Amino acid sequence: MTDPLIVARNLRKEYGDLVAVDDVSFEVAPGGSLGIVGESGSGKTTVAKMLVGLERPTAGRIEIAGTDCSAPAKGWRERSRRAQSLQIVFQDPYSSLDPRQSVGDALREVLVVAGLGRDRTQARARELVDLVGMPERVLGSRPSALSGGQRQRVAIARALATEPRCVILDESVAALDVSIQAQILNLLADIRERTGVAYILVSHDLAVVRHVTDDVIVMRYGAIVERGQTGTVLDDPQHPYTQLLRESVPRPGWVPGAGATT
Amino acid sequence: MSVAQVASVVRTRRRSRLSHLGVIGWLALAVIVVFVFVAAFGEALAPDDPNAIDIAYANVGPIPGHPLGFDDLGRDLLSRLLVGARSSFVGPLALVALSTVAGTTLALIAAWRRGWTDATLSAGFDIAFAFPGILLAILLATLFGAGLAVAVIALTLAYTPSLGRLLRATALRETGMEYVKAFRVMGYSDVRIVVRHVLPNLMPFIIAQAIIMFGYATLDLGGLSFLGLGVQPPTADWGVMVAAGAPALLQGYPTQTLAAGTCLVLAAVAFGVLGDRLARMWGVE
Amino acid sequence: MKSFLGRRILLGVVTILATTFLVHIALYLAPGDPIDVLTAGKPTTPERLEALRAQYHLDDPFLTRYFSWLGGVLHGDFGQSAAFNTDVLTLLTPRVPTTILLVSCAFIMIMAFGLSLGIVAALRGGAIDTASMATATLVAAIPAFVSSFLLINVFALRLGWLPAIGLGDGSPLDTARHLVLPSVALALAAGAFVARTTRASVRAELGRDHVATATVRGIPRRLVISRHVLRNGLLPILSIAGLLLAGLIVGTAFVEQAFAIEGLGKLLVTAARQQDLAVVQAVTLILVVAFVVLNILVDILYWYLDPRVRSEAA
Repeated sequence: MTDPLIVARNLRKEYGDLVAVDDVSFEVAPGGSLGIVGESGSGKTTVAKMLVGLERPTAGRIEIAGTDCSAPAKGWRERSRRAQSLQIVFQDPYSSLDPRQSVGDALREVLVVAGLGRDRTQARARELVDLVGMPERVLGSRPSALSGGQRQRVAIARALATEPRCVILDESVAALDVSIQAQILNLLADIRERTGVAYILVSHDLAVVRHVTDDVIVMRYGAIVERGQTGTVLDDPQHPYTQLLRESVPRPGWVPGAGATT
Repeated sequence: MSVAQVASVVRTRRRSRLSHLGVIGWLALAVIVVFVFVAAFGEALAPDDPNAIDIAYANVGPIPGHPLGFDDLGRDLLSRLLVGARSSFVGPLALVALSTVAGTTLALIAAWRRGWTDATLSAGFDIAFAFPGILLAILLATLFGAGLAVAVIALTLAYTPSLGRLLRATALRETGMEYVKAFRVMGYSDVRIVVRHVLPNLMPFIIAQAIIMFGYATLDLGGLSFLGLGVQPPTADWGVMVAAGAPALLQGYPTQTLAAGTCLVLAAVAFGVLGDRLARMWGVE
Repeated sequence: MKSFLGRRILLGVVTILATTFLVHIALYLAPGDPIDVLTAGKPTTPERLEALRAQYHLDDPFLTRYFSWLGGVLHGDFGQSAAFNTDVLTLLTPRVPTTILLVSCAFIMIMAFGLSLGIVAALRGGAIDTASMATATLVAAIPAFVSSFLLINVFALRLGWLPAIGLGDGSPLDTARHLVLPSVALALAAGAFVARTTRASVRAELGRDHVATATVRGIPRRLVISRHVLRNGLLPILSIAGLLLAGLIVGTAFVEQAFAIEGLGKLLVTAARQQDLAVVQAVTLILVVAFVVLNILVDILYWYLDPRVRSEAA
């Protein structure tokens, strides 16, 4: 078996008296996919932020591609080196792009910062919008001219620009309409097949997690309550909290007042 | 509509055309353009030598060729008003430029570093805010002597924290946006994120505030010149002219004081209105 | 209440101490020997120099100098004026009541006219609203040093209703007549600002859901307005009071200068022009202390009137 791409060991994050993340450990293999499920406040987004160096863990260790990434990067050189391994797509498609930058400028800037020669950025930007299923002419568009789903495609293209080995999707489809969600999820599955990128998908939505990931961990109050293969955990949850999560999802045939225990 | 969507709509509106200024906004812009033109070419426009004294004409009213008449020393009032525009705007220009640069820098540092840097700077802003700028200007004039440069420096010390305070709140919101986090994860340097992304997005707010500030600066510096603590006579300057015309006003010749005062008020109102309209147009009130 | 009051007073004391420190070190910031600054460069007798050296403890280490000076100030010993050749305290004593009188009159006018104009504009709406707010916007931009002369020109010189300058012969009636124009000049811009703030705040309050609910419930409009709209709508005025007070205190410098009134403001300006540091130090301190104390009083009033702040502070 190959070495894991991402290793998180005994991660802990405290905000004053509040323990947001408590003793969380997991691994992601190269090309693998992990779902992190839980309600809002369960600590799942804090885990994502610690992985990409936006938050400093109170305790614990993070290794990405064999290097220690426990603390946020010191200086932009280290930051830019880490950027080649791990990227993130945020939840809010409306604020995750600089409103003043056209799609093309945004993509080219990432490529220039990553050290790609200016002569090659144009071609690569075209490849990227094609990869996320958008026509070339969006390169000239400002974010304000795009829909939520289109912006999220741009954010995904931007995250993939430097060919990272793993992308964290932090509730990346939660703000979108259900039909658009399905399109984006299919796109993600397709990209994974074509590029072999690994995913960490953070979501409160079990259906989304099932769609994209092989393994899953379930978090509550900052701690992991259950883990395993996605299909197994979601079809036959062992922990009462996972059962509760599963039951609280409205399904077709649901009748108000009939109870959700079917 | 989510907050983010509202913000997005607002951001779209930023690029809206100048036609959204409204009649009042256009009027204010026109007044400013005229004033700026006069400030630039006042000497060429002046029909007479603004410093030519002729006691025989002291306080004489309008005569052909001298539509506003003469001041207490027989100098042509219209010429002095036209030439005085430059002196009345150069101070505010320096003041606004200095305090905008300083206030923006401090606000960006506070918003970017957060934590104790932010706490320290904010506390500094709050304490400095409690000390009136005019009072500081009077104190500094006592120490270093009265003059425009001392007045500008004193007011810069007073304006910087008030702009910093205002801008810090907006900058905090901008640096909290997800695109800023995304850039950090993508390996952009702090300087690149702040200078190439955060600052340009704050520019509409900064520009509108600077224009509003220019109105206040005109009145504050004009007031200090009136007190004898800014521009010094015999330089033609609106604030100085308000004071110089006071004795004549008491004798029934109010033209110098009132004309110079009107110019100051007109400029202040025009800058205030334009800044206000621009802020509304760009959605950055 | 205690913690809130304590915090406010602490901040006030810090501001005042910071000001005394700033005002004191001003002496050493000036170019040249402190002794030259204190004499404003005028030729002085050796005895006078000795007295100044003692008053400012120029031969002691810095902190000792500061605290001795501060101790003197607390006992009313502000030193000697270089320009007026007398005790600073003798200069201050007759001027303090004059300035307090002027500021009080202006404050009453601001509240009376600013509030009522704002309320009427908000409640009546229509042409009255538009016209009064346009006027207020313009008036708010007229600084005291311009409005003073406008008032003198129209009401003293053209119409002859009121005296132009000075404070008169000292009889109460004459003083009152002389105070009208300066008070109006001091109050005008601030009053217009209050009118605009009041109008906006009452307008916002009128649009609130609970006001609509009360109206729908059949509560008489008069009652809805007095009980809900005005009570909540007038609170924000208190929050701009700090800005207002700073404007009034600084404004006395301009108004007293324009109307030739012998108050603290005119004294400050005259002293500054002659680089008479002892006087400027004293007046600056008095003005800042007045400003800080008034601000604390406003905050306490706000706390007393607004239950939301009260529960937050608890």
